[in-house]
Amino acid sequence: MDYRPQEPIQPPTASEDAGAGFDIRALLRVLYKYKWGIVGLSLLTAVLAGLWVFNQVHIYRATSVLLIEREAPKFVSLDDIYGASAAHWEYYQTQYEILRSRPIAERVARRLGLPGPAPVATPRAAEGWRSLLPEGWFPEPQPPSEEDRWEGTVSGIQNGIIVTPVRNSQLVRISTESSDPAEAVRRANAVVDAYIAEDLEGRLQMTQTASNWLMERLQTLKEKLDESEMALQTFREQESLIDVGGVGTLPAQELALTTTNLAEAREERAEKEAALEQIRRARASGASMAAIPAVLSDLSVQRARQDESDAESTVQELGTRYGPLHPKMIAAQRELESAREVLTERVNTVASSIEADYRTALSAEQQLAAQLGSIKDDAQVISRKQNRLRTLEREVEQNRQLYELFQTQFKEVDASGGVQTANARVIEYASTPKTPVRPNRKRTVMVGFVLGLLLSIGLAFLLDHLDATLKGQEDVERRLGLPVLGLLPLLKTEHDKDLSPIRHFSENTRSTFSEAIRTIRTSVLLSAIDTPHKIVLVTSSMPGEGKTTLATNLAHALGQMKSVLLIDADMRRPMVGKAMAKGNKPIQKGLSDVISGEAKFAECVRSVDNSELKVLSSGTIPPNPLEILSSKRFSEALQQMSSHFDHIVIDCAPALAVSDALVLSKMASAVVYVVRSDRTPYKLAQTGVGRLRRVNANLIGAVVNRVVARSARYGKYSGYYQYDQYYADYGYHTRS
Amino acid sequence: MIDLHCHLLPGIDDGSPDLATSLELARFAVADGITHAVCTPHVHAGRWENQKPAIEALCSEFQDALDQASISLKVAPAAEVRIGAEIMDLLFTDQLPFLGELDGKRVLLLELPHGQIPVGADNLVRWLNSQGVWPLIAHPERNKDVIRDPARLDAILQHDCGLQVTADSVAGGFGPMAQQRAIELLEQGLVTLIASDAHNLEHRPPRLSAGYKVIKQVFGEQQADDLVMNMPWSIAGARF
Repeated sequence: MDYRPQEPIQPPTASEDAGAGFDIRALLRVLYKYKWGIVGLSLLTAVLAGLWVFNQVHIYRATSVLLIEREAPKFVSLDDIYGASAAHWEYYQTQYEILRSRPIAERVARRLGLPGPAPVATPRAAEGWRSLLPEGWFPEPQPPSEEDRWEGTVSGIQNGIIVTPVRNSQLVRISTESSDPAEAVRRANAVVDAYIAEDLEGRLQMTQTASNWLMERLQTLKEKLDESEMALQTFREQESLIDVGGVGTLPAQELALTTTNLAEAREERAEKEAALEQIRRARASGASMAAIPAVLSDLSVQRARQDESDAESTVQELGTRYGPLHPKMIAAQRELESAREVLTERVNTVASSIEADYRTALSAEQQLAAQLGSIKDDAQVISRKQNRLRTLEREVEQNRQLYELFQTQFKEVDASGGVQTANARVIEYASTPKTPVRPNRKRTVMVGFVLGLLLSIGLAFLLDHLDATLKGQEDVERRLGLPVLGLLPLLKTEHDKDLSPIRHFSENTRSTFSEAIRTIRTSVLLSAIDTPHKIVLVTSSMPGEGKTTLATNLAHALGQMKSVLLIDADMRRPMVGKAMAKGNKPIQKGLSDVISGEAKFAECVRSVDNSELKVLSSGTIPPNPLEILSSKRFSEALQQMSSHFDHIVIDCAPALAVSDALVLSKMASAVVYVVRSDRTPYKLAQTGVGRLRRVNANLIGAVVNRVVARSARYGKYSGYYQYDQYYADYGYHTRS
Repeated sequence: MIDLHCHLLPGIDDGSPDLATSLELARFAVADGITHAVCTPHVHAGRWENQKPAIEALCSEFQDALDQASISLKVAPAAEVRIGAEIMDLLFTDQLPFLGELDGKRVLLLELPHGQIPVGADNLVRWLNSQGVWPLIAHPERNKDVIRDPARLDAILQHDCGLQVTADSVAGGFGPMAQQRAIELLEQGLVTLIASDAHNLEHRPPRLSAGYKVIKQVFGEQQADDLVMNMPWSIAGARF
């Protein structure tokens, strides 16, 4: 019991938007229709995927973990800090590439002793087809050479290295895969070892190169130093210089002194020369030389002049008192004269001494000048030597400094070369994998299933799209513009040869099929309640859609209530007579014979048990049925028959194939159009209905035949199927 | 409460198979609060060929049995008549069992095929109107055509007729779609009354209380009382 009264039941919301909902329902309908195909194809692909995957070799994956350290960068500026992460990334990216590089793979191969010894070439059985072909088309495959095997192994290892950085850490996972778990472990471990070894070796090589270069440079520098020292030494020896400092000072002092002396000598000489000149001039003019200061300065001259002047003054004094001849005067005169003579003699002597002095001074000056010249020469020579010495010394000094610098560096490099540390270490060596990483059986099967599912769903929609047949009540109503009088369900026995559907109603009164027939009967009768349809024509687009099934069963249903005549007017494929005979000998004569006058109506008509139904079969098949149906005799006969029966049901040929239905529809008061669900192309049905409409046939509606119960009912509402189930649960279907 | 649509009469249709079951159903109905029930076996040409006199006779027997078993349920005979052209003949021959009368018109419980509304159903309703008959359409909310598209009822509703909704449909016992349609019809004021359409104890018991409670919650007590007591009584009260 679904009812739960204690729950407050809200009024259901209004139905969803029909436009949007329709598409989804249409999609669901397609999926429902092809559900077995979809499930089957999906399972098939899943099974195929399973078969494939179970034949695959197991691949194991071993993983070792490596810590790659990076020297901490020294941040000096803000830019460095910002750039650091990029540099960091670059560094690690480089390391990952190194891990995947060929030298690592080669190292691994060497370490593991791969490839193993070449397999012994087993001579293959002569392949028959090879010998049939011209030589050289398919040469025997040569066993691979050593290089090829090595190449193959190395590139195999290289491609098999899977490097997975662990996020936000310095850890790296290195995985390798192999069909042998132990081999996978060996390889994974060999890769990390090879990486560390490779790194160390690289560093060593780098320092070695550096120290070699430094050594070379040192050698050169040493030679240069020695050379320059030697040159200095040689120069010193050559010039017999001992004290480099004393060389410069001695000549300088001497030079200074000599220069001073020379200046003095020159002054003296100039002085003497001037005095001499005065003397010469005095001599030439006859003037007294005594007035010349140089002469005058001589003490003996000065005394002589004093004497002279004294004598003169004596003379003058005596002159005033004595006459010139007074003895005293004569004595005084004599004295004066002698004084004058002494003076002259003295002056002459002084003058000649001045001349001699001049000559001495001149020669002294000349001597000094000569001396100074020689001293200057000496000093220049010494200075030149000094410069040369300094140059040599500087050279030595420079070479020494350079040499010492390189030597220090070399020592440093040499020292650092001795203590190398690896930048990486192994955190975790690979352990033997227990389960294979490939193939993932579950996933492969799932993928197979999903692919199959998608493929089959796509196919379903494709098929549905290509399927332009009429489907169910709504489709028929929409496409044909006809009300649906009823839906005839597909009967399980339909494939039988005994044409049982034709008699279904009379034999199974309680089935859904019979219920549908009764509904159609009701529709036919109620559609014209005031002037009941006298002649009901049943037709369809093509043969095999269920015209005869409907005509016979409807006639039966009508026959339960009224007197009914069923006429088989399909003279091309008559079915009614055969079906209604139910194993009895069918009456051969029928409609055509009645019209042609070859038989009486009463002879041909056949009663059906337990009902007021009478059947008139098609009779002898005429060469041209249309001619008979459009004859005046036929319409008269039909008129006559209708006066004897309440209803006449006519089963006639398909509306598309021939014009029989069009002709008959003019005489019929109602035309029922049969379509076969999921089989009748809607275009054909539209054409058939159109033809009938053009002749103004009274099409009262369509009947959809062979509706597959669930798929047809699975229509507009998703709850529909459930609803159906309710009916079944509540005993609606059980009563049949 | 008064139930105008139930299949309590034994062995006459797909309702109760025997008298014992009928009495059980009656007890259930009384327990549910039903005091009067109009028994409406199927009248369906070619399927349940029940005749008015036979129904009346059986109903009389059933009333005796109820009295004997001290079940305080009053029953009256009528029928749930399947739509069809034969109704016209039955009317002419006075073979149609009616539920009662409303405003001077005879009330006929008219059943549509559950799969669809037949073409021309509106013609019959119109014709019945012209004959002084007021059709009460049985459980339209469970009709597949109506579930697909409620507008399909419009042609019938143009004429003078009523709708009988199954009580359990309102309570959701016939699925969400039937419930939705039932509520929609109630909202539009198209429902004349609700009835049980009782067939058996398991799936379709004689129960009005569930639907009554829901209607009381959603539409109020007055409307609920009208649908289970006042309207049914004004139609069939004279028959008890």
